[in-house]
Amino acid sequence: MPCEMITLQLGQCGNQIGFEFWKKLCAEHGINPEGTLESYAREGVDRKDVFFYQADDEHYIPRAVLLDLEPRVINTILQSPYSKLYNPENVYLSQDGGGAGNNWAAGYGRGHNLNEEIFDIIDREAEGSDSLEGFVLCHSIAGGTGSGMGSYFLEKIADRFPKKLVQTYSVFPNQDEISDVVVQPYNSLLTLKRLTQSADCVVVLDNTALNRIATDRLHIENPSFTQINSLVSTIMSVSTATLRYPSYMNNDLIGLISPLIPTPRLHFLMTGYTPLTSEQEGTSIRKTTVLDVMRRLLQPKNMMVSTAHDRSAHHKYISILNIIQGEVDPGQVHKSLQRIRERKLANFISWSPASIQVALSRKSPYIQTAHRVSGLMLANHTNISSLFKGVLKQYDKLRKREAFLDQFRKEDIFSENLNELDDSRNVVQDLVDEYEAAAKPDYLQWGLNKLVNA
Amino acid sequence: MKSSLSSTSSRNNSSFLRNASATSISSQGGSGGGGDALARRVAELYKHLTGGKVIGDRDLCEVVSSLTYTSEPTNTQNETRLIEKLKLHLIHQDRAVESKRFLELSQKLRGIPLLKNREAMITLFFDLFDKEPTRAAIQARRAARGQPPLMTPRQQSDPNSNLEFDGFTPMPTFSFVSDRAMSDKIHRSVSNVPSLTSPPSSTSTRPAGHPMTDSGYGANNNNNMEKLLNNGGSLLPSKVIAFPVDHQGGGGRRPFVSGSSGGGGMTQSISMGNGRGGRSELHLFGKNDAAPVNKMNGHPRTSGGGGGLYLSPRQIEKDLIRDLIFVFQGIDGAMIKCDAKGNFNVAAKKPIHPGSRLQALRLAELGYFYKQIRTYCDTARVGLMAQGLKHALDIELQEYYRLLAIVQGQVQQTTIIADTPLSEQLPLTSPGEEMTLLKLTVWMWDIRPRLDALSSIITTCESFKGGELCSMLYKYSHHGDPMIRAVTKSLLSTTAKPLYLMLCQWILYGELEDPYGEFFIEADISCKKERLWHAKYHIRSSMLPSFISIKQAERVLATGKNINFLKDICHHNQGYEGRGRIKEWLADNPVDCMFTEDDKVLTTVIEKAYKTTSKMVLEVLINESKLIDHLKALKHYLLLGQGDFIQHLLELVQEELQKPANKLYTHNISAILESAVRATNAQFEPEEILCRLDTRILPVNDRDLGWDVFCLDYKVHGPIGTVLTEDDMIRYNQLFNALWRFKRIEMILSTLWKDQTALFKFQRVIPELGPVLHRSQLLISEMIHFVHQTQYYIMFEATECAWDRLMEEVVSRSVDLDEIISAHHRFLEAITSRSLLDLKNRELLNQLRGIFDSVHELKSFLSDFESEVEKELAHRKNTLTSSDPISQTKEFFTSYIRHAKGKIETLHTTTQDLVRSFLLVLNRQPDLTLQCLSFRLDFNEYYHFKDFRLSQPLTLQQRRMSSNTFDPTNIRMTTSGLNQSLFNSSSILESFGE
Repeated sequence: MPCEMITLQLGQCGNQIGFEFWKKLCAEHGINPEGTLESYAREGVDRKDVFFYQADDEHYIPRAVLLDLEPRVINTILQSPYSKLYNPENVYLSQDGGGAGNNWAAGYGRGHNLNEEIFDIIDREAEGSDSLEGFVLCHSIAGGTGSGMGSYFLEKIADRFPKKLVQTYSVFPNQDEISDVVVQPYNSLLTLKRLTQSADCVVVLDNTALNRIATDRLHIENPSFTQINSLVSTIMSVSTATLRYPSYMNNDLIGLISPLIPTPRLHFLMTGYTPLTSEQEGTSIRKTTVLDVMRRLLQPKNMMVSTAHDRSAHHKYISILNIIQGEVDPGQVHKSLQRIRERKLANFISWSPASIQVALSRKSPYIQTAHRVSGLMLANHTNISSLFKGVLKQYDKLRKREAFLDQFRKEDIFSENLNELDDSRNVVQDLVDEYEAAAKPDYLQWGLNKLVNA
Repeated sequence: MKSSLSSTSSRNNSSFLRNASATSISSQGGSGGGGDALARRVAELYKHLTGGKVIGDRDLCEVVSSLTYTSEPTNTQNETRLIEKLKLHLIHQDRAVESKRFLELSQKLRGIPLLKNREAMITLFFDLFDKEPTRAAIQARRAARGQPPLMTPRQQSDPNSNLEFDGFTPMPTFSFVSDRAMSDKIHRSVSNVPSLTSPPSSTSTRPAGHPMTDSGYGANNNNNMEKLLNNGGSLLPSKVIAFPVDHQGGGGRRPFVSGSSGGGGMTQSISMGNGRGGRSELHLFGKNDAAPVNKMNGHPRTSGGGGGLYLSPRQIEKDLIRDLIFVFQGIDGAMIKCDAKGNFNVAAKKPIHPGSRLQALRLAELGYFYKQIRTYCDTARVGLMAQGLKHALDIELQEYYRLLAIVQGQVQQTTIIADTPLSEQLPLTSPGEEMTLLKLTVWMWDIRPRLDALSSIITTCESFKGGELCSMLYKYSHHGDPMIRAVTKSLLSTTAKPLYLMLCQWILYGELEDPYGEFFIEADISCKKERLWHAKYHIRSSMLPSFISIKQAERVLATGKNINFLKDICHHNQGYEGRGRIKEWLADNPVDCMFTEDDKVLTTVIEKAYKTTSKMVLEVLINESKLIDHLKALKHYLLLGQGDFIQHLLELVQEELQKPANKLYTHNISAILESAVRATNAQFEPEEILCRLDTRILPVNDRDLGWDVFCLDYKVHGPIGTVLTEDDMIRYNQLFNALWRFKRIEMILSTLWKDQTALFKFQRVIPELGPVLHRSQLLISEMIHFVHQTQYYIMFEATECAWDRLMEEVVSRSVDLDEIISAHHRFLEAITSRSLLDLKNRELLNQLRGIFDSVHELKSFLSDFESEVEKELAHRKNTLTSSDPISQTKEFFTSYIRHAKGKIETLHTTTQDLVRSFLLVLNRQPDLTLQCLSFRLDFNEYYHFKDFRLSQPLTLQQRRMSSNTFDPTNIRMTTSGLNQSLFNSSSILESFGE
């Protein structure tokens, strides 16, 4: 089957969201926790092969590689009903335990050490697929394993599989609460550099926004990781829906992301989802039409990325893709688009043609939802730079004080100097600059002049 | 004489013969009671016949009384009825006083023994009443009654006092007037279909009316004398010919002339009443063969011809009657002969009284009719319905034959008696039984109009067959004359029987049993099976009977088509549900239900059969042949709905398609198709669908690449082939080809996009690449945007919207196959026009090609660029290691970058120009769905800001669209003829209204 995707789950966070993601996919495809197909799911309307492959005994096995340096999360997974789902050979748990200690550099270094072992797994998976389209990486950018080891493998995969796409689902730390990980700004910055340079597409999952949505929109006072992760898994599953339920368009990852990403660096996507319901209050049913869904998707409160309030309305959408699921009359799409343009609900860049693309996707027939229509938005918005600016700001604060750098210096990469940090800062600053430039109408000229200025 | 007159007059005077003999008795016998004389004569006859036996008194009495009284009641009845009728007529005209007076007078008239033939007189009155009373007529009446005229001036001037003679057939009255219109009117009352050409037997052109001149009579004209000619060949005046002589002055040629009956010379003119002596203005010319005495009052009739063989008028009449019996059967008689045209003529040289001649000719008309009908029956006719008509005519003729038999019997009877030697001597032997022309007329009276009608009907229907024949007959069933209506109805019932049977056969079994092409549905036997539904059966409009409406015919056609479709295409032989009931019903109902106008039952049955069979066809198509699944398959494969399959196929086949078209081998491509099916979700399709999926190579032109000719194909054999015709499949192929191009461009752009990320990494090593890459990235993303949006538009706004409607129409709205077919046509039509594929979008399509070409150009440029960059990269790596700077290559690369920069800039500009002009054309499109595309392509008004030309129509467009609740699914093609400015101004108004 073409266009297979191999999922790499790294670190605590990565494995948690990965676990939720697979749970969701299994439910949608009618695959039970053991990996066998439910009796009701025998019709071949969906493409399971993008994310699963079939073992000799007809079991569906996720194309997933689970990596962690500490056993806690993976053990939870292996003790869950889904333990038999995964190929045990693909679960890599560091033998010496201990983890990366929330240290990017440690994670990066361990990645280097485990390079061969891990690539044995990845290569095997890649060879097992007919025409691998790319990799999906689930991780957080703040911790040690997900960010450090994730960064390492991101770089290595990009080198090793230059023609494959790499998409990441990257969890950004919650900025509202004080993190117990003090080196988080370093970790984030260093990871951001790799995300900028080595990934083709980064879906930004902002813990700040996710928590806010959970409390504000779903009225959960202290949202648990599971609740947050179910939001994340929804986003992940819907954003891959067009791959799994083929239709006219967006049937492969490149078809999905190429219209969203105009220039290679502007590949950080925000997401939004509506209607949001938690399991507890699944009863609140609203009327959902395509227009409702599309309009709500443009509201900042539904965005899964918290960005600084853009007072001057200076930031703009570079591109939007709405994946609409449910009973949609295709004629309504055009009407909704008209309304949106008429009321100027979406502010687009002016240096290139841009529009809200709408992909109508099928929904899993096996999951009943209370809503007629639901929608996911994948948006490339220049205001995402504010998130990066925040990272830079925090980094700068720490860096100024030269705080907590000892741990980093212990690792190979920083053993000689801290150039890597400075370099990363430059890359991220460039990224911020590019996003800022993209918000202006002369982005084309800016790109042409960059060389001259540099 | 008086006594004998009174006795006869009190008895029967409807019989000419009896009158005649009675008159002769009175004239010969001189005195004595009529009864005695009769008895005496009977006794004599008896004696003569039996050779001297004397008849017994009792027997004699019996014979005499039976001879005398048999038909007496009828005769007095006739007289009374006539009087009654006249009276009624007067009452109807609000002349009660006069009617009373008339009654009194008629009573008096009865009391006058002088008048022998009161009835005749009354008939005369009746006749006169019919016409505008002329002075002469009044005179005549006065003369007849010996009384001053009764009519008031008002009465005289009443022109509308036509008397109807309908229902008065026992005592028929012919009125012959020289006036053509009058005779026309009479004729019309017999048989006339205004729209049809009169058969040769009609009006004055008929042979009987052939004018004959009478020089002698011409002299009479000058006297301005009104003559009433009793030309009945006897005294019975029920046959009265009245003609106002003064109507034609010179009188060279007259319509009714006494003819060259000079030899006859036996005319007896009886002057009625005292009639002003010798100057009597009214003459009744009667012929009384029993009274060879010429009593000439007034002007004597001079005989014209003078010469000729002497024949007794009675004998001539007998001969005429004998001839007529033959003539009635279409055989020439001795005197009456048929000429080449089929007209009967009485031998001109015979000394026949003009009246008799005329009467004979009139009777001969029957022969003419008969001959026509017979000819029709005897001529070999093509077709069952003509056969039916023949049969119906045969039935009609049987009636006629029966009558003829009776008449002939009558004539024979009298002739036998007459032929005995005594007949000459004893003309009174069979009084009241002898056949006369007048009597014959009465006998034939009833049948005549019927034959006339039949003859005129068949003359009209002569050259027609089948349904057309029925239509012609049906026309007559609206005739004003109830008799003709009735005749037509019985004819039609028999004629249309085969039609009805054909109809039943067709509705019940879908079988056409129509060897002569008479049914209104025809089959094209040479038609191929696949085209059965579309081309095999047609309505044969010439054979469509006028009593079956077009709608009914269409329903009938559809019903049979349904049945045949089920039988031949779906191999579904058990017949449809409810056929038994319909069959019963059809068997129970007579043929007449087809043309009984207010009978809705046939319509109901047709409707029912149509609905049942249509429903069954739909069920079979949808449930057994899985039409919907096949339509879905077409959408999935030929309209690229099965994205993963298409994507994979595209990847697999691209290498092959890069070859020139003539190097393309079907088997290679089929193998690729096979593997694409296996690798994707297409594998889950039912075998029934997969086995139909195939590839096809379109006709190859020179220099075509594989891309240009490659096509997916879907085999549509079996029942679904009826909905998906060959033409439709060509459409699908075209659509596929167009959409496939889009996919290919999309794939190229995806590859370019991917390459950009790789190139972007080189930028860190070779920073000079920056500007070129930046621009090419933006150009690529612009192109991707264009291609994606256009595809979105085609896939969703065009295909999916049309598909939704198709499904709605097919699943819930269609009642028959034709509707499904047309719904599918509309579907294809909508997609074709919205996919810019139809002819009127040629311009757009060319621009689209231009944009695609620039994508290809970009691709080739970037691949060159990439290889240059790679070379440079390798070089730089070398220089890094070997530290051997070669300024030459560096310089070369710098200039190459400069060139590339220029090149990419030009490409960017041209592409944007192309897109802009594409948008401009798009904005001018009357089809609003196409404007959806321009809306999508320029959602953020990027092009609009770049080109002022775009802004104006676009804003108007935008306003208009926002003011209306615009739904692309419901927009039909707006009339292209709509004035654009009108269009705009209305939209301005709308926006004001908003």
